[in-house]
Amino acid sequence: MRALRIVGGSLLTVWVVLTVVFFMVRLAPGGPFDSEKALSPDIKAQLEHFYGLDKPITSQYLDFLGHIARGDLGISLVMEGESVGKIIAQAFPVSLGLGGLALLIAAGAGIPLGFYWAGQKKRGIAHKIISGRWLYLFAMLPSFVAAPLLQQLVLLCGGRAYGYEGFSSLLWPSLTLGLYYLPFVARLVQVGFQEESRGLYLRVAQSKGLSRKRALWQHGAKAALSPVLAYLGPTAAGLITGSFVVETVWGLPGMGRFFVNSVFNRDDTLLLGLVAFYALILIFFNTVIELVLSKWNPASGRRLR
Amino acid sequence: MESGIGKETEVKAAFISFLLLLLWVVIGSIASQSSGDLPNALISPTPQHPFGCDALGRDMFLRIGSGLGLSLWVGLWASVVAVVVGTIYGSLSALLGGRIDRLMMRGTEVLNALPLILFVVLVGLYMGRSLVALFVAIGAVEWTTLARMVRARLLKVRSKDFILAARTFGASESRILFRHMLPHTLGVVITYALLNLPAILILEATLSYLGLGVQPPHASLGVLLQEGAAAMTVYPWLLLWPAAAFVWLLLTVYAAGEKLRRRLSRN
Repeated sequence: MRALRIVGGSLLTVWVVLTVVFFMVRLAPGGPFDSEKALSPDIKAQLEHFYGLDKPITSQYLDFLGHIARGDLGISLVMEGESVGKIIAQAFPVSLGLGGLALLIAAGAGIPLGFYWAGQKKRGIAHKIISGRWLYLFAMLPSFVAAPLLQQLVLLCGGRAYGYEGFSSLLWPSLTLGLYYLPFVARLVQVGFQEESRGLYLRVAQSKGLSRKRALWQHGAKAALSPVLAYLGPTAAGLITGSFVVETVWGLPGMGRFFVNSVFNRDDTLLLGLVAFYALILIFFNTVIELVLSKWNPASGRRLR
Repeated sequence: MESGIGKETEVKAAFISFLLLLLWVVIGSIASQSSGDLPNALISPTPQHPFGCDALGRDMFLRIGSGLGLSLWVGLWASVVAVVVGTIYGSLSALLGGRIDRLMMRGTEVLNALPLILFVVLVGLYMGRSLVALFVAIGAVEWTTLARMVRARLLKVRSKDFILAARTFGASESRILFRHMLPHTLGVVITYALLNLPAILILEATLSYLGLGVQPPHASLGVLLQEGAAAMTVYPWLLLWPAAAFVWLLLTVYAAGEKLRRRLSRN
């Protein structure tokens, strides 16, 4: 029942997001066919008629919702004849691979690292360096600095640093992305475990003969990892739907590029399609995570929302 | 635990480092050149120009100084927008309660589901590309977390005894809110704003990279970093010094935020 309510609320959110974006984009000043080269009014009218932009905005909105419900995202206004669905179908696997790998790096290395930081007793600069706190540096470099730097490094080592040739060309770019998120993940995990380590239940578990580390991991993990899971939801959605900077620097045909270009070109259909896709994925992740969290901690759903 | 002396030196170090940054900003802003000096274009660091010069012959030391100032300025005002909007929205949500509260919180979820760049471009379309548009756009994205924090804090404070006491003494609702409840959110809000400042600075830098941020002839650190990244194989110092300044700024802000967070969480 509660799961049903969570899913229902999410569908409602998707609808509101689509509505807000639709009106924000369509009512914004300027249009897709206003460019530096002025079109003759005749041609502009024909173009707008062809793409259905001359209809009243309410019927455009209803058309838009109807098409989306049937999974049809329309045709790009700028790239002639390309359907938005096809663009996403081609670009999404690249972004999914890139973002998925980055996520694997951030979570796969960040969670053990955070666990280690939480148990670490010694302080001081030397221990900070040995324990990998210098990784924070990666969170301080904007991706448009970190990505070209790593690219130069790969070039120096004789690797391939540009273009897309299957999955293997995603490894290096995903490292730039993953290293940016890794310190955040590790930090959240560290704080989570440090808070849990004060729990009385740990003393009970230890008095029954578990080692401290084992007790913390086996009994404290669900509570300690909850915040990081909540953080990873939106992060994952952002990662797998494309990262403009990293894709541009490494020459990957992912979704980030289309997204930024569609905003600049006023390619309204493509933009709306991409936002709809992004919102769906984001809300899907948030819903799944909310379900997991409510399973891990039944009290979490009862908090005042 | 750490010794008291160690902590004090850390605080002092953060403070001194912040003063040094400010000094750099002041020098950079006073002496900044708007026009270039073409014979000096792209020279490597020399005693006269310790950080080298950019493609128009402008001294990099001064340019980084004024860029630091501009970045801080944008970050500061974006934070102010986020704090003000977040506090008002969060308090309204907490006070109205019930169905409206739930609706308002759903609203923040919707906003979070919108990609940032869309916001910036749309705000730019309505307001033109100005500094004000930039920090309104950044603030418009960042306030949702603050609204949630203020709301959660107010809900916690609301049931405390001293609120009941104030009410029995006949304090008006607005007096209770402003005098007794909102001050309790101040600590969390300021700490969050400070710890979030680096994220805003990186955001500003990324937007400048996309050409949506600070417009020439002004240059924030983000713009300098982007120019440097484009030229780094040939003129590495164009990237090195802005990057160093950026990391230094972030470290200082992080350190100050962490100290504040610890101090507040101890009380």
